Amino acid sequence: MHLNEKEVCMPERVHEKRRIKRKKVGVDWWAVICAIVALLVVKLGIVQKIPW
Amino acid sequence: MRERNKFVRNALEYVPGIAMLAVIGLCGKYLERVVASVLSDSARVVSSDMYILFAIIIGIIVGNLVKMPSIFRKGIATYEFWLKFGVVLIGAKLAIQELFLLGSLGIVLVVLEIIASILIVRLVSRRFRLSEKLSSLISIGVGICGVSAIVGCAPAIDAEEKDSSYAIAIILIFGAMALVLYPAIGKLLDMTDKSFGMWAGLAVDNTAEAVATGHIYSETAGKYATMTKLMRNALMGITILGFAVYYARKGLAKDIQHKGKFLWEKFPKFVIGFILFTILASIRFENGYVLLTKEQIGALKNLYKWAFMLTFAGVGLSTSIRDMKGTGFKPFAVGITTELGVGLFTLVLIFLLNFSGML
Repeated sequence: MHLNEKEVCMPERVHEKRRIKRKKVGVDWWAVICAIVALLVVKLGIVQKIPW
Repeated sequence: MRERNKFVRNALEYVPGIAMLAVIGLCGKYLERVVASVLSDSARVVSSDMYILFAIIIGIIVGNLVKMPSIFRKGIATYEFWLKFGVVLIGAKLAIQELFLLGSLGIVLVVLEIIASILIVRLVSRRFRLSEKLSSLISIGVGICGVSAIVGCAPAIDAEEKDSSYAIAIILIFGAMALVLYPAIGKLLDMTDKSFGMWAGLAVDNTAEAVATGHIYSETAGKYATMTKLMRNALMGITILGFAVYYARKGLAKDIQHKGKFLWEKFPKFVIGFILFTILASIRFENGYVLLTKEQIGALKNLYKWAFMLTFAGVGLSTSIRDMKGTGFKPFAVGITTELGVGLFTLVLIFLLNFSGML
């Protein structure tokens, strides 16, 4: 009974750990990452002009 | 494969809301052109970034008149991301010398502004017999970073949810008012772009509204407002920590064990991106090679305008008049007195710096 309980709980715990790990990349870092990607796209000349 | 499908499904959930932001933002952009063509250019009534104000107004109207289906919610909430993305890109418009020059002066102004906010809120709260924790939340909201500072501070000082809602409502009410009032006062006092930008960055509470207020005045003012506001944001962790330690000593909140970790957690990381972009845009080699040409910086500038267009449509859509009405009289009275006090105090500071030739 005890073992079964452990078996059932394990994947849930692993999943929870992964979820917490994934949550660490917050919106601030995403904003920085996307801005760097945008900078590279402009710097490498993939997009030369962005109209406004 | 299943993971990839899940990722795609998750990403697709953002599309309707972002499309809604784009439609409202584009309406704001179109309205700006219409108003600019109707009004004479010489009057300089319409700044080049007036689309921000129009996007917010249209957003408020739509958000409060139409009950938004849940399908749009996830996408609309991305406005915080677009704001931070835009702010990081603005960094490319600044020179590193400018950042250092203004940074040293700005940090002194910000510290004075935070101290003034805390003192004014304390004084007024006592008069209105507001709870100490609510007054702390209002002072941290007015003094530093509006909503995110309140959200960050509430669990640290063990505040009630009702207090947080009141404090957030106050910040949002005055943020919305600042969008219209501050540029009008700035024009009335004939303030320079730099002075107005720094004033907006010091006195307007929420990052989105501070950036918007600056840009509504002028693009240059927007740049200075962003920079000054980011300095306030950078001090968020240390001020929240101060409040947390104060309440822990009084036995009203839990003590914070790892203070260094706490400070890092509360530090707004996009400020690092902003500084990084300023450094990258300022790199100039001896042979004249620049890392980012004028055209490339121009392209990034236009990209931040698109990001801001989405941001401020989202700010408008998320501004609930009903929630604002729910604020009690006492918190509202404390809010208005504090906002007036801090606005006036920072205005005097800016004028003193102007007269002494430091700005």
